[in-house]
Parts: sequence; structure tokens; C-alpha cells
Amino acid sequence: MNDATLRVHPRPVPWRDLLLPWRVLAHFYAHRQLAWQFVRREVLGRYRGSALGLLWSFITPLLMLSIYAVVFGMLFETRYEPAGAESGMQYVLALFCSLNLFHFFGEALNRAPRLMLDHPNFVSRVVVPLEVFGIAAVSAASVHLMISMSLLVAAALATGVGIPPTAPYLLLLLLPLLMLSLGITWLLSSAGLFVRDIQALTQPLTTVLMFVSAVFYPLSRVPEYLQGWFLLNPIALLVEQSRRVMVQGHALDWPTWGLLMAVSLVVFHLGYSFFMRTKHLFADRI
Amino acid sequence: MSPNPLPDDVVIRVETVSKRYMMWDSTLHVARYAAACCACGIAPDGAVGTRLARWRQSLRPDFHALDGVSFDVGRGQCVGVIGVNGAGKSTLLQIIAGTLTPTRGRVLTRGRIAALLELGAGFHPEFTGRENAVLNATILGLSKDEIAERLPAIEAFAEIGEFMDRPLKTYSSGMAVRLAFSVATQVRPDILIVDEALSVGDAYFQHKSTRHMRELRERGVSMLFVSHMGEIVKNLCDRALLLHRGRLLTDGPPGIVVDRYHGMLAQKEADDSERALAEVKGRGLVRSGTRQAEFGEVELLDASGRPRRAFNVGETAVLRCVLRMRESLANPTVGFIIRDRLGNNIFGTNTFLHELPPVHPAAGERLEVRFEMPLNLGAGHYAVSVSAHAGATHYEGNYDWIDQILVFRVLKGPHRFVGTSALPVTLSRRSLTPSEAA
Repeated sequence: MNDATLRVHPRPVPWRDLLLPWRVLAHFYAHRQLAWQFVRREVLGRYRGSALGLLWSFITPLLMLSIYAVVFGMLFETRYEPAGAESGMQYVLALFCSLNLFHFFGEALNRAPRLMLDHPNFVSRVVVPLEVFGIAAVSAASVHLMISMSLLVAAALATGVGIPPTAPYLLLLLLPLLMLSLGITWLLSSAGLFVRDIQALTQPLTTVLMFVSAVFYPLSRVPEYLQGWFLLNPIALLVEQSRRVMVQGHALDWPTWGLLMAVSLVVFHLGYSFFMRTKHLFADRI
Repeated sequence: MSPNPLPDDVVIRVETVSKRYMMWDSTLHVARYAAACCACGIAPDGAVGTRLARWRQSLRPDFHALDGVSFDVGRGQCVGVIGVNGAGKSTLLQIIAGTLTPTRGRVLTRGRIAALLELGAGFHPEFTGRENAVLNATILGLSKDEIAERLPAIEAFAEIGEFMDRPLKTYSSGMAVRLAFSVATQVRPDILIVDEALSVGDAYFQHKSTRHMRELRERGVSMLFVSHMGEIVKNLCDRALLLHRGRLLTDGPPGIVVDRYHGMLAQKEADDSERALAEVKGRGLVRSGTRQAEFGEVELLDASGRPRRAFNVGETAVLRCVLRMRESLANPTVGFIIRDRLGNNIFGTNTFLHELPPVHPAAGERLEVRFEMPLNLGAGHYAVSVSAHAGATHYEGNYDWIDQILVFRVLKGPHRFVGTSALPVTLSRRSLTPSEAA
């Protein structure tokens, strides 16, 4: 046997493995099989044993879509674009797109503080790279996002609104969204073990965040003196951009995208580093 | 790579491993500590680490689950870790497996480790046995192809039949255990770590897995396992470690270590029965007599004078009683009786029956009486009652009588027999010649 199999415990993860993006990617590539198993477990496990199974991933967003369509599209008659420039159907689809994106982040935010607590056996009894749970949780949310986005496309085509040619830009927007969600998931799943109160905090925080993230209104409607504050929230920018490229047919705003990439990269590495540097304490806190 | 690489024939090296549990007063302290640790990436031995440790101590003293434990495990060795509950056995295994981080010291290991810290940990109840087996094998580091190749062997060893494709929630606990054990051993680890796993499952599976562990050992797999059953350790291991309150007490041949462990158990039982006696005294239910003389200490010792509550068959025990005289009494008799758990009289005697020369202790004097005897008794629990009285029996004038003042245990010996008496049998056997038969 060579020294490659020699393991020293404990050995802190060197900073270069935490801060160089390709090193992080290589780490997860090495664990791709394990990560895949946990993604599977997370996605399938949620509905296993329920009668409708994965169908629930369709039913829930569909239900949401109809509620929001009735309340905001028909009762409140809110619009993103100036009066006359947007049909009711367009508004509903744009709203659905915004909600999907927000729910993706909200799901990650709500799941994160409980992530380790939900898997106590894996933390203290099974030797497993715990960071894959973050990947699994975000992947599960991604599956739901994909399902609801395909519902959106189907609805756009069926109602004759159509999908604008700028829609593929959404894939570019998913990159910062994924990194942001992963970073937050890692950060909170570790912090949630040390400060249990975070669990109680994320639920109301998600609601607050939904209302300040330009889900129901365009950022341009925000009063001048508040706009600076609203722009501090990367989710608001993501939501707005996704709606613009996916439904309204505007081109991607590259400076905004660049800013989003920078912010999400920082959050990603911050969250990952925090997780990797504290995970040796998890078993004591579970 | 490391300053002190592992010699080739060593697969596990535990270097002065300590595990302290910090007793926190509030979550805020935890957060401050975690933040500090994270910010600096501190080594616990460094200057900052030491200062942090002192600060923590000032908050609340720590609990030492492990205290400076060091040992090596050679390739192909099977090492049993024994100790009473709370000795730190599981903590040690968790640290070696890598789920728990030691406060001090480090662990070097070589090769693939399969750890069964809790059988079925990581199983998902909604997934089938096969899916769970694949996940578990992946966790243990097998590639997709390796899993496909070994799945039949895993299935065969687990012997759960068509349940392999049913959700785990439909399994009996024995079935889940069989599957977990099957996966852990069929992945062909270099090091197998097992925590109390063999105490679950039915007798058939226990037997089968014991046999399998022996086979693994012959194939050169190193094993480390925890048990509080001395017999299994004696049976399977070629070395044993005795842990007590986080310290490594003994490291040596299983026979010697297990005996020491049994001795320790006896000590613990002695403490327990003393506590029980205190309660009994409080109730005053089973003590009677005029108290003209009173029992002070009543102890059961081994031949070397140490308190013991567990003895091997035929081992010498000493019952030591101290009688405190309230009044001056003419030749008080001190006696005892041993009863089995059903209350049958097994043996009893006293100073009168043994015709000791008469004494006349004055008031305030303390009289010590020692009964030394080989415990030729069958395995089981026994209770000792003591009495101080005038004449031959306590009916004549009872000074002090304490019922069941202590309980002791006789352990199963190498030769099994039935009954409460161990008669010194000598056996011989031969075939009779035809002429003798006639």
C-alpha cells in the first residue's frame, strides 16, 4: 500500500482548496458518484411513499400559478410594464417566472439551517463528506425549478404569448443563482448547528425577502430614495433579470450580470469555506 | 508527506488522542468560540488555542471523554475495546473512523475504512434494500462498477430474500442489521470498525457474522471493535484494550484484559450495592435486633484484600465484618448466610459453630471477624445476610441482623455445570474390556 491511502485525522482543509474555484470543482468531481446518490435520495426521497410521487412537483407550482394569476392578474390588475404594454397573460407568466426563481432561493434558505440536523446519522455515525448535502439540497430545488420553468414554457406556448428569443439568457442567470444558493446553504447549515435560533429566523425572513425582491413589481416602481437599498439584494436583481429575458423579451443587462457573478462567487466561497472550516465541530453539536 | 509516517505494518496509529466536551452555558458562547476558531483556523496546541482553552475553562470545566489515548494497530490484528458505559469506547471509535474530531492528538490510518458505528445509520426508510445498499457502498468508497460486481455477494450474505427490493421500512430490525453488516464487510475494507454490532441480530446471524469476521481477519483485514461482552472479545480478538473514564488502562492479551474488566465491573457493583444498602438502612426494613452490638462495615473482598462483587467459580472470597459494641457483651456470635436469588439457603456459619475461643469485648470496642472461603458455587447472583447474636442461632438473643447486606455474582467458569454448588469433580473415561463388562 502506498502513502496515497494514508489519512491523517484531523487535518484542516487548506485555504487553496477552499478559495480556488477549480479546486472546489475538482473536489466535487471526485465525489460525483456520492453527490449523485444524495441528489437522488433527496429528490426521490421527498415523495417516496406518497401516492402521486413526483407529480407533486408539478401540482404545487401549478396551484401557485393559478392563485397568483387570479389575485394579482385579475383582482389587483398589477403590471410590470407601463400601462397597455403588457397583457394580463404576460403579467401572469412574468409573475410565475419571478416566483419560480424566488422559490428556488427560498427553498434553499429554509432548508439550510435544518440540513445537518435532518441527517444526524450522517454527521456523527457515517463517514461522508457532509458538503454533498448542500449540493443535494440545491439540486433537489433545481429539479423543481426546471419542472416549473418547463410548465412556464408550456403555458406560454399554449396561451399564444410565446417564448421570446432572449429566453436562453436564463441559463446564464442560473449560474449566479446556483452559486448564491449553495453559498447560503453551506453557511446556514453550519451556522444553524451552532445557533439554533437561525432556524426560527429563516421562515419570516423568506416572507420579508419575497416582498423586497421585486417579485410582484418592477424595480423601477421602487421610490428613488429606497432604490439603493433594494439593489443591495442580489435576489431582486436576479428575479427582475430573469423575468425580463424569459417573458418580456429584453436582452440581458451585462453589467448587472457581472455584478451578480461577482457577488455570488464571493458568497459561494464564503459559505463553502465556513462550512469546510467548521464541519469538524458538527458531530459535537448535533 | 507527514512528519511521522506510518510504519508499513501499522494500519492505525492513535497518538495521544483526547476528547474534551465543552460544557456550554449558552449558545452565544458556542457562537463566539466557533467564530474565533473559524476566523483563525487555530491549532488547539498553539498559543491562541491555549488561551482560548483557558477562556473556555473559565466558563465551565470540560468533560474528558478521552484523555491521552495512544496505541497502534498492526495489519491483520483484531483489537477489542472494552470498558463500562461511558468509558469512551464509542468516542474513540468515532474519532478513528473520522466522524468526530479529537481535541488533542491525531489519528493516522492506512487504507479503506468501513465503520459500522451504528448499524443501519444512513439508511432511508422509503428506499429499497438494494438502493440503500448501493448508497452505503458508495459512502464506503466503492465505484459504480465495483458495486455492480459485489451487489450479488451483499445480497447473498444478508439473506433477506425478496425484501431486497422492498422499502426498508418494511424490514424487521434484524433484517436491516444484516443488510448493513453485509455491505460493510463485502466492500472488503482494509480496516473494519464495529461498535457493538454483534449484540444485535438473532443468534444465527451473530454466529455467522462472528465466523465472517474471523475469515476477514485471516484475509488480513484489521479490525477494531467495541463490546461490553468480554466473551466475544476473548473469542475473536488477539489483543484487547481496556478503557476507563477516557483513559487506556490496559493493552494486552484479551484474557488478561477481560479479567481486569470483570474485576472493574465487580468494583462498580460493590459501589452500587453500598448505595443500595444505604437506602435499605434508610427504610430500616430488613434490619432488626436490640443493637447492643452493631455492624459497622461489612465487606466482601478478594484474596488480595480488594473489594469485589464478582468472582470466578472456586475463587477465594473474604467476608469481613466489623462489630461495634454498644455494651459489654459476653462472647457475641457473628455469622452470615448466603442465599441464592430464590431465597434458598446455600451456606451459612458463625463464630459459635466454629468454636472460636470466647471473648468479652468492652463497650465501644470494635471486633473484626473474617470469613475466608472458596466460592464453590454455581454461576449466578447471591445475597449475603449477616447477624450478631448470643449463642448458636440468632433466635437466642439478636443484637443486630441485616438482611441482604450485599449481593455478589459468581461468573461462568471454563467448565459449565448446573446447580448452585460446585463440587470438585474428577472425571475419567475409558472403554471397558469385554472381560470387565462380564
